[in-house]
Amino acid sequence: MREVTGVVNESIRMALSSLMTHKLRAGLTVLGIVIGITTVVGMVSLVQGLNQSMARQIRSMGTSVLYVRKYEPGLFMGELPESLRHREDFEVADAEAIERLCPSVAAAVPLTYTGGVFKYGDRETRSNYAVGTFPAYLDIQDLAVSEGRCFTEEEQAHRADVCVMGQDLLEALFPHSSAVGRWVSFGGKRFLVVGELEAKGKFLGQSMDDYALMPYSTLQKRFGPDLDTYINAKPVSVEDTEKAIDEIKEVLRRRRGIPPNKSEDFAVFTEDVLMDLYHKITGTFYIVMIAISSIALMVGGVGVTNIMFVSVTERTREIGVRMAVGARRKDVLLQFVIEAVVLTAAGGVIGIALGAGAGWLVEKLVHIPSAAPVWALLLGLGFSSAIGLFFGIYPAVKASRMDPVEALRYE
Amino acid sequence: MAELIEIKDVKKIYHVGAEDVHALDGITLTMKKNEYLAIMGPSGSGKSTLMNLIGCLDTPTSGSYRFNDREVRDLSDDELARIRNKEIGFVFQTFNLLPRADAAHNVELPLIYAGIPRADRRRKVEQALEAVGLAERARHRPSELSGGQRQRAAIARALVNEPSVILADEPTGNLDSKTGEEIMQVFEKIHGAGNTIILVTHEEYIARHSGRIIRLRDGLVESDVSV
Ligand SMILES: Nc1ncnc2c1ncn2[C@@H]1O[C@H](COP(=O)(O)OP(=O)(O)OP(=O)(O)O)[C@@H](O)[C@H]1O
Ligand SMILES: [Mg+2]
Repeated sequence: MREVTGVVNESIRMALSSLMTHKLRAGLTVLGIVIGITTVVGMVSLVQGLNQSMARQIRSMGTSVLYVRKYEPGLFMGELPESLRHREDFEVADAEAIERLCPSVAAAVPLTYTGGVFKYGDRETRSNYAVGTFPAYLDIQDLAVSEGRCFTEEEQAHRADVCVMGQDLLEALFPHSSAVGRWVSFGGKRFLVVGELEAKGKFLGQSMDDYALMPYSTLQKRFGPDLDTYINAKPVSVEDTEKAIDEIKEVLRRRRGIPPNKSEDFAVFTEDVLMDLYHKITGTFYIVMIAISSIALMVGGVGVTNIMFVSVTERTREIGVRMAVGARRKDVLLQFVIEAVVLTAAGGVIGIALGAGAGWLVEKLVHIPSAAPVWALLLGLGFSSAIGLFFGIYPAVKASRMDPVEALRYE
Repeated sequence: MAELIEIKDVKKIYHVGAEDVHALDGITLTMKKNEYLAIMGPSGSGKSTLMNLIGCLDTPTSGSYRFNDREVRDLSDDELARIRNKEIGFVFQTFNLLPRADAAHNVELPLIYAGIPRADRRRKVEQALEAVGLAERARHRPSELSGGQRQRAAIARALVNEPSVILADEPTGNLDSKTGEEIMQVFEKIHGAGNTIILVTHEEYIARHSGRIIRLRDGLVESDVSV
């Protein structure tokens, strides 16, 4: 064992000295490896950061929300398929029927939305949107009113021009005062602010406070009738989620007259589906990342083989001298393998630093959270070293097979 | 006392194209411990080839070479490396120091491959540099040393593992005669300390430092004279 450490130390010492003498050459050689490792570490940092914030978000949502939509969210290439686009819209009566007929459903509300700009005096928001729904929406989405009140059932029934504003809008329109009791305009119509929503914060760099709520009937009257209607519902308890989904499907099938042998032309799902979609997206992310980085790493690896051949040839005499003073073939092999590994591991360390730095920069600039897990850093280091091993072994074998007399004679 | 080196009818034949070059054409010679031998002969007579065989860098085409009572032909690559490491010290005409390593590091090399612990290595390197009068230049790289100093470093490297024999192939060939004479003083000193030396040279005055002169011609021993 003692014998090996001496040779290993010697090899590392020589590898570092050779790295220092040929800084530019070494830098250019490991460029591909730096790019590859930067990509891996950077992407893993971002995806891990997203995962963490996603998990936190799901937890903060508390009870699960049931989404009743025309189709499940998915990754569609280009246009939505014809068959999905022409599915039947939902009605208020659907939401009411679900709430009345499904024992496992605590509440169900219709919702609809439209985009636009809110104005107050000479202040205006950037592009935001208004959601038209029932007061129970607050309970379903786990929202709270921090000031004033929510609109009432009466206001919903009478299509009153009232709204409850999210924090982003309040910040833009009423930075110094309360908004309750003021009239704001949206899409050319005037609405009385009756309440303020509690802040929900950001999710995936996207604000969740950038809208206002108003009665469903009001939004339809002012901006309808071409707006789509969706339904959100809430199970009695989280354990009843599956049962609630089945009941909702049953009620809607009956209302739409779908025979039992036909599949339904609508979808009921929970955040799980969103989570699945999210995992599909990050999975694609990972595949792209692996593709980019493996190309870079291959190119870098071939460069390492090439430069190691150059190094072995340049140092033929050194190899001869080492053999003359007692280096065994495996000592020479070890020396050049270590040299290749030191070279690529140095590239790996630079790549790790750049990748973690890139993640950090993205977090600071775009507010997408990033987290470089220790395993990703170790993976980067391990992978770059493995590349040195793999692509350095052939030149090292060539070095170890040299004939000592020939090597010493080399000019 | 047993012979250190026993060479019997050794031939070394190189195939160059269709031609066979008989670099050694049947050499027989023996050598005892603590001898100081000079090998002379015209260029191309096979001196370096013989030195490479004795130093276990190369193996004969035919014939028998026994080193310390072991038949070299039967040894594995690793065993040959071990002999080169522990039993033989090489000194070359062109010094063959590693350019990126300082004098002490160059001298340390055989000790590293011998698996000697760091502290012992340091002490032995110091002693060897002391013995050749180069202790002050330990941290200098070859490019920062004169020719004579480089050869001293190379001799220290050959000495450091206390080998059975030191092989020097034209060690003064690249030095002026005054520096060459200084190097010969070093060899004389280490011979006096009990080392066995084989030295190749073209110069009669260099050869006169030895106790026995072998002359080669066309791969054969022409004369073998003890003085
Ligand atoms: N690798 C080789 N391939 C072919 N021929 C070789 C090889 N090495 C040596 N020879 C030949 O063997 C003969 C002896 O060479 P060697 O180097 O031993 O001579 P030398 O006595 O050391 O000469 P010098 O005094 O010039 O150093 C020469 O004719 C040389 O051309
Ligand atoms: Mg020669």
